[in-house]
Amino acid sequence: MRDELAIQIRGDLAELAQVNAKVTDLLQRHGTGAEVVYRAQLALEEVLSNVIRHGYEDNPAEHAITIHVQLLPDGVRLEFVDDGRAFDPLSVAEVDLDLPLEDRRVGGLGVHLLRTMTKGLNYERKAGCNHLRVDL
Amino acid sequence: MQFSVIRADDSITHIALAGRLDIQGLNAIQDRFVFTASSRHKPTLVDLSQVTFLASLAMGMLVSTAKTLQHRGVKMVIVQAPELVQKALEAAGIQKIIPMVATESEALRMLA
Repeated sequence: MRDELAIQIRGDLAELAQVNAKVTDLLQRHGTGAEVVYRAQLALEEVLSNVIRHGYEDNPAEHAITIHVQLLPDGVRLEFVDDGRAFDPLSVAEVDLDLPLEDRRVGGLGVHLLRTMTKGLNYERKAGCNHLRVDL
Repeated sequence: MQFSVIRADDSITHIALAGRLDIQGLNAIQDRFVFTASSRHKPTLVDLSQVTFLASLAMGMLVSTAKTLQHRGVKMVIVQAPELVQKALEAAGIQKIIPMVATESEALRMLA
């Protein structure tokens, strides 16, 4: 059984459902636990929706985004490659979760979830592309 | 994604969501959710028991609506979030600003 997968999509939010279905199918066929599958779905949703909504100055649908999925002995690795504007999620300021409701920001939780619901993140800008590795 | 108003009377707004609250699910229900919860100015119970996935944008919708209600002096409570959805909500610190309870009766007591 193949234990890795590469998917290329257009920068279109409508593509997210098929990416999610393919990755979920791969993980479930390999017996990955429900919590890691959920975390993988969350990482796919947060990274791809962020790139598509904010990563491009022109039409995102004219750009390709590649997702590599690898099943490792101790977990799952997702790697995202896009040619959008440089964006290092590790450079984003932490969200202050202790603020009262009236002072809490409505946005900014996506990167926070990536940081807290994964084992690790690694970002590089190479050859005009963002490379984001997410370990689960 | 499904959106249902279970109860809307003088004392409470009870909304139930079902399905995946990803960006597409959110787009399908966000306007109705925000309008229903925010325009009635009543204590609001949001039942997530049938929600299978909840992304950060959906958390933003819950926070934004709870802020609007608080500004009008009423509370919002989340009830029966499934385990993995609850873990994601807790990772985002949502339970610190919107009470999350296990049963409808607890929620109703909290909103009384």
